[in-house]
Amino acid sequence: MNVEIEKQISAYLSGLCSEEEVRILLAWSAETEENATAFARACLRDELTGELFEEGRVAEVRLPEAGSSSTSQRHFFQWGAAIAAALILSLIGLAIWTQPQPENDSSFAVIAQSVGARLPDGTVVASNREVGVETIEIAGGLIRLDFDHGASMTVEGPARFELRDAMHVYFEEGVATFHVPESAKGFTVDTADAEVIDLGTAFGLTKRGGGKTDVCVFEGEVEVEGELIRAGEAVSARKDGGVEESFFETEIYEKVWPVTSGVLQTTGMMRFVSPGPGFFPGRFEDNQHITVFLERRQVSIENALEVDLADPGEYRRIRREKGPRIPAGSEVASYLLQLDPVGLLDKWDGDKPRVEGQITFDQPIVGLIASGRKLLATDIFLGHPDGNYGDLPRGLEPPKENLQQAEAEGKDVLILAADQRTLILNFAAGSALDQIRVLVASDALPTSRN
Amino acid sequence: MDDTESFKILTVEWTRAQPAVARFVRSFVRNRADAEDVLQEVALAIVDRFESYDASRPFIAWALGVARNLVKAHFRKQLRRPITADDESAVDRVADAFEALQPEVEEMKEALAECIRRVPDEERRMLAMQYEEDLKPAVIARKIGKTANHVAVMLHRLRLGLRQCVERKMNPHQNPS
Repeated sequence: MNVEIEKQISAYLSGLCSEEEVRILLAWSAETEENATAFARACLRDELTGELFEEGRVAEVRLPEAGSSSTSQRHFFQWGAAIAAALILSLIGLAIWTQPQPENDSSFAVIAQSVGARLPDGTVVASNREVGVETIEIAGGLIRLDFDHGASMTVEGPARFELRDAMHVYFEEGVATFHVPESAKGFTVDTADAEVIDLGTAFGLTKRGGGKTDVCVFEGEVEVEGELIRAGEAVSARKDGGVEESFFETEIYEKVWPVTSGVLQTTGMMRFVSPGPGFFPGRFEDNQHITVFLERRQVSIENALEVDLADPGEYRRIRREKGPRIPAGSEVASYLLQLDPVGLLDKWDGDKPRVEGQITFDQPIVGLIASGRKLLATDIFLGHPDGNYGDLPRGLEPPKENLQQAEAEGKDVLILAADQRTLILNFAAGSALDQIRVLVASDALPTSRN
Repeated sequence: MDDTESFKILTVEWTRAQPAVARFVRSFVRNRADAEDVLQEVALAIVDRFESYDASRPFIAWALGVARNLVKAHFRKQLRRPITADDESAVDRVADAFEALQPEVEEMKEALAECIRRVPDEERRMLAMQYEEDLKPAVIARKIGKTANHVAVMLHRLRLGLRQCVERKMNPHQNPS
């Protein structure tokens, strides 16, 4: 059995395969008797492992999580009794006994983040609360829900929505963005005006009364009332069933999209934008903000990757001749942070814009790339798949011949905080495009698209 | 054969075959509640059709035959895509494989128990969360403060290690694949 197939079977057994991946795996199993036997053996070992834990024959370790979710959900041996009972009851003409599901079966998502979110009565919404079929209403703030199947949904209050099951949300009111990996393809959001079926993508949805729902597709494709809407397209769906093309405008999602994208918060002059199709960093010229782009949600580093920085500290000289390495096999998400002032500045211009900001990610930063050479070398696998990074000089590199003066003036200052999640930047725009690539430990599931 | 005799045979045979049928159903119907429903349907179908069972054939083969049809019926109801010839063929072939593997199940289980006991505590805790508590990698990740991807990779490595360990124990003179 080859490594990839074994990996795929393991993902299947962990419940991480999309329907398409399952189809491919079954087709492989159907090819030969040998394949079918290998698949059967893997499934059998999996079942036997569960039985051994259930029988208490291998669980000698005291489990740290003894709360409600530790109740065993494996019932094969209870099933044996249940089915035998069912057989007997059936034979004597009585109704079949159905074993009730444990309470904790009903949870399929967690409120992973709550940023200033409160309920209508003013109560603060706590994070890390597991949720199942229920209606959630927030008067303000933001919450991010992470579903067990890998999808995430960030909602800005005031908002009200109903989680009908793990794959179905009824959205009454509010602004939300969704990221749905392949493992949750088919995730459906209903409103009073439209049914939106996700086909593996990222999109924003606004429902603010007025008998219409606005949908804006950032990546991939969604189906709105049966019409296929692609990345870079936006539509308004009306209550009467009509779907009209509308202007692709991501501004309304600027608070929620960063949270969906793994950013806890930004402060100061930091602006998170959705790249959308035909991504070209240069088009985001802005004298007042450091713009932040999510480039890729999950990249597997094939060979050890040299970066410029990885340890907490304050840095004025960022380029490194020999930087730390991210080990092969690491999974990272990549973000591009840049200051690109309007127009091209001459290096002798006295009045150069200076911008400060702070950004906190929800996972640890594992490396920073700031030299033009390393940025260029990593664009191909860490840059946005549809990105066009132009040919302007890039990075954060004081010229070698003027390094001391640049450092004395505090040209570009970067602080990687001790929590390993927060970056504080103080950039002064120069003739080059100030850019830094931030690599963050990826929390995406293996079946995530990027 | 009268009804009482028939009932006795059915009860004894089903008690023997039920674990294998449950393992087979669970291999394809990954949602636990759905698997339970399918298994109950299998039990009822076996009761309904027991008269047609040819006692000269192994009961387990017949029970797996009933189960495979109900697994396919479940696919037809649950899949968002049409069921393919490959899907049906995979269910049939894997059912045959389950039947063929029956004689070695107990030996496999003993070998597996020994192998799991040798897994270091931290990894064994992860296995318990997956297999005993039935938690998904994303939930395990939240509990232990790691990423979901880390958990998925660790589980894959653990399964790989357990497969090799079991193969070594069951076939001590062969090189594991």
